Amino acid sequence: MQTNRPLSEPVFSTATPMLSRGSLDIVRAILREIEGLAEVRVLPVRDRAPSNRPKLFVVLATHDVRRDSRVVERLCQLPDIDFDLVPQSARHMIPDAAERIQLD
Amino acid sequence: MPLNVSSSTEPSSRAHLDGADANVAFGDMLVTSQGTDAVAVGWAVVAMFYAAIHETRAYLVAKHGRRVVAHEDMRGVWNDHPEMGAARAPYMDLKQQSESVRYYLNRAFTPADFAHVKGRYQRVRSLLRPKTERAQQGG
Repeated sequence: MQTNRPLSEPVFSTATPMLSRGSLDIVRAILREIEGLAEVRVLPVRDRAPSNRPKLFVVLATHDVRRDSRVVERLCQLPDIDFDLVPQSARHMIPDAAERIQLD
Repeated sequence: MPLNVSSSTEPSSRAHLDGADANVAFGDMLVTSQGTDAVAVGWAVVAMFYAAIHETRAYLVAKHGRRVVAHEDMRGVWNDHPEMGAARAPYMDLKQQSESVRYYLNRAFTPADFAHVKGRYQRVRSLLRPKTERAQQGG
């Protein structure tokens, strides 16, 4: 479990890629462009059996269903991932193995 | 794995449409009668997702003779039936808001939120209902 890494560290180990570069770019764009998101964490496939897809947990800093619709529209561009929008109050329910996606 | 069956014990396409309409009426009733109760408004939001489930299942039965029995099957549906693609995002949006209520115990939903969520259901309906009714008529 790595939940408190410094921002300067790489997003993921290159030995265990979790998202394609294209998917990662979309997720980072969502984080940059849409306000009210606290963070995005990703649970790798190895922790998701029997599913063969990684799962994103988008932590919502505020309650805003219109903003959520925009996030979902963007995430639906990613065909090979699952995702959950998680209210800040339920952040503790995200599996510890989910790693935070950094912005750069 | 989706089932392709024609069992009389499974809802018909028409029954699914009735189910969709009943869920919308239920959601409206909750917000109208108990709009200050966050739990009631939350369940009204959930009802919109279940309306969308019935809307999509009605189409799949009428057009493709396909029965979906689990949420996980929907991923295959979007892949197999690209003509439904525009409904995917509003459907997934409804699923997220429903899970926010049921799994994450989000009690922040207001009647204004319900109106937005209902609009997302209406997007699913406007995309699928005409196709469903044409398919029911043999088109």
